[in-house]
Amino acid sequence: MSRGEVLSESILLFWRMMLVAALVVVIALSVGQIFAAKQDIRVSESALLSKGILECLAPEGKINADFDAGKCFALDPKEYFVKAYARSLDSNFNRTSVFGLEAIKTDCDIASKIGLSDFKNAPVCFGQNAYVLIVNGTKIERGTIEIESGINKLKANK
Amino acid sequence: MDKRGEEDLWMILAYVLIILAAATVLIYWISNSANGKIVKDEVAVKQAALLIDSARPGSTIFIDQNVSVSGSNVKSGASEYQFFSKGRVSSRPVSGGTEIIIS
Repeated sequence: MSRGEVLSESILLFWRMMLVAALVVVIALSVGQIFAAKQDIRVSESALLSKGILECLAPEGKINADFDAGKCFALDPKEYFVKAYARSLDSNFNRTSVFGLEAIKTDCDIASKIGLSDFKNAPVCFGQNAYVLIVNGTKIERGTIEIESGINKLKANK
Repeated sequence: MDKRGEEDLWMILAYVLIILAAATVLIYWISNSANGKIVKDEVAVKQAALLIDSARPGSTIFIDQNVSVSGSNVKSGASEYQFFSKGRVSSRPVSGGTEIIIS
């Protein structure tokens, strides 16, 4: 076999290998998209977080006027966002307590405006309202509380 | 067989072996993906994390899989997920799975 023939055989073999490798990669990527997609549980998680914060701040429907939403759970401030806003219906009293990364809430607002399909890496937020009794010193006032929770955890869910 | 024929034969043999190896790896991976082996650990840790998130202190949860709790993370195989809980969470292996205690 001449040197030129050996070279052409080698080049041919190289491209055959590349073809096999490309085929394997294409099949793996196609199948991977179907079977290896991560389960996104952040919707359930944010609802549970919101419920947990509400139960923590107002255990029997009564909330202290100096509440702190960040003291309920040991949360990672980079992955979670919690905002609790209490407002009295009997006086001008209102208080907001925020914990975590506020950018999560901003991203949730943007995602709800432009649509989640256009913002694939958006965090997930959940909000709920409840009627509570606000214990402000010796006074007990009727009021409402708004809990907003947001979860980023993009790497583990996307 | 002359030298040229011998070289060709070895080349074809090597080529066939490489294709067979690639196909075996691919079929094994597709089979594992299709029967859920790859996502099994991920689903287990996420389900465990959601159960811990929703459990009240004083609860005991039984999961029919091998998971472990380390700090505020549930682990199983290569998968790991962070949970939040007001109580102290620990786990111990029991027959048929894992017991998670929230105290």
